[in-house]
Amino acid sequence: MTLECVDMEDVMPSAYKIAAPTRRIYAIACLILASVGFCGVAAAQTKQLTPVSIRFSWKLKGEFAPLYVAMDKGYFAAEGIDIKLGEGSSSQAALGSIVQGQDQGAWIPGVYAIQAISNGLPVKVVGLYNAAAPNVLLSRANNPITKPGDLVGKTLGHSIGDVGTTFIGVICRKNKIDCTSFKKVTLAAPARVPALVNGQVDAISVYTSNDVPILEEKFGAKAFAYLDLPKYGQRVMGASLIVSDAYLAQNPETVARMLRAIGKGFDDTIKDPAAAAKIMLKHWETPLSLEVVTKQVEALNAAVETPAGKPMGWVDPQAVEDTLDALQEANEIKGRKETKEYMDNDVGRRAPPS
Amino acid sequence: MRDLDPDLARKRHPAFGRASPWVFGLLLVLIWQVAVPLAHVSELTLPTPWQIVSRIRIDYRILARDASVTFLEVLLGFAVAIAVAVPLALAIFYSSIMERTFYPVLIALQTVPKVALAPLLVLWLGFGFAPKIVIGSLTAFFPIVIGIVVGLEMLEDEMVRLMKSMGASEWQTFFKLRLPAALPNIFGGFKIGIGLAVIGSIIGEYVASESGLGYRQLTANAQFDSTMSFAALVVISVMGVVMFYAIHALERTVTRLR
Repeated sequence: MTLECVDMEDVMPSAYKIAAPTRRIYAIACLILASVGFCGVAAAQTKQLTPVSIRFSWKLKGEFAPLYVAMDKGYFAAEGIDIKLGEGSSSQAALGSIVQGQDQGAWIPGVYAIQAISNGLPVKVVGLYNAAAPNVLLSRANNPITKPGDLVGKTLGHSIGDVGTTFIGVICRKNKIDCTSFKKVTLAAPARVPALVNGQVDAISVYTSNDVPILEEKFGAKAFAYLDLPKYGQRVMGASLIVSDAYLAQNPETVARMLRAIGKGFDDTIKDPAAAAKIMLKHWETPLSLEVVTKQVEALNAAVETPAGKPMGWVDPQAVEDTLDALQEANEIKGRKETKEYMDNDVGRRAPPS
Repeated sequence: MRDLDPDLARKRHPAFGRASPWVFGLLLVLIWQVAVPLAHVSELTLPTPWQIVSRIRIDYRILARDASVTFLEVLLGFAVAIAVAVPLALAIFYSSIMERTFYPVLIALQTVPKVALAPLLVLWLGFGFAPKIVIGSLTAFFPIVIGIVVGLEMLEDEMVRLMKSMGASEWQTFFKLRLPAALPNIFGGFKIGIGLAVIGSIIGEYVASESGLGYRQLTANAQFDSTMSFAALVVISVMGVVMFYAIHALERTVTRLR
């Protein structure tokens, strides 16, 4: 028996014959329609989520844990937000990015937002989580600086953007020491710690919520001494959420939802900093240990201040005033506006305090 | 009297000539390796070569991924630089009006520190690839333009007149005479440009990035991880050298074919 190839055209009734190119076209059309249908369904499901991106002031650190907790636990999604969190390269770049509309929120030390607003940038502080940035002056244990009077005759290493050393004038004024009795030398940011370790400067300013746990792990907890700057009167705004005036005016409900989600992230972070650190490390490629990141988170938590009866992230007008005082004292701003022009607590519909 | 041949030593001892840069490099590394612990310099201040190499070995996946990002930025920045530089150079060469118009602007642009431009580019273009490619191309394109223009201008007028006397069109003169003669200068510009494209891309990453070797170095500095910072620097250097020699190999191939 032999098999013969049969041309389908010969066996199919002519009425049902469809030319090969036409069949191909129909098949492709069906595929396209199916894809469009599928995409339509998917789009309908994701349509409810509003895309929001928050730009950080710097590279990842434990301070950002509450936002990752909120993302990881679905708090943003529950508020209808499709969140994207992005590392930044400076507070100024983050502010520029929200004004340009590339990002919707900036997570930066509030002092830079206050400075920018004083200089006319159209942004607002809508969430304040550290009314006083957790800065310390770090010195070597064999040459300790633990109170303002110890600064006399010393050399302070300062970098552009260093909150603690930029506003050292506040420490001088509130503790009645002469700011000219110690030297301040300007260094590139990466050079500060080596300069301290090598004895070229006597103190630098660092964050307890970032640098201190890392340095303690590297050099040992007993290697350094600390001067707690907020304790001695330097209260400038720390971790804050900033949005542009335009975005706030057009999307107040979205901003309120962001704040609620972040508030829940903070609540969980405060309840369990170790778990928050674990979540942070899921999203962070770093050689830092869980212990170090947990300490960063704990330091962030310790600096969270929420006035009684107010929701998490409520912007305290006194914090804005204190920051403006520090900025004027350091000649970082020429004039100041009314407090309400810097902040917005009325992006209300916040969840009531628990 | 001996002939004053600067290559005499290399010709007499070819193996030594080839090995000498490696020997010198190795000597520097050995001095560094020994001097750091002898001087009790901490790893935070200056890690030893062995610490850096060990770190590269441990974190090679991270560094390789970052290197691929930076490599792409450099390649695209370099390609954009060539795409802009070639027509501009030809316009400058063929038109004295264009030369008088563009040269001062080019020189002014070249003297602007790209570090100062970078934050503005991030403001305008965002945090993605675009600012890195633009900065890389801005940094690279000036030597490429100059290399092409100088190379085209170096040809003797007699040669051009000879071609024209034989009935060659400008097109033929360009491709059969001007371009081949200009190749050494053009590739010279390319070689300088590729190194500058690497620098430009890294500057862009310093200002705005979420990946890449410049990003890796910044995050390492933020975590007081000098060893990783140096490891990233080593990979940046190796990348620059490899790309330079790739252009060199391309030059040798092209000049052999002409």
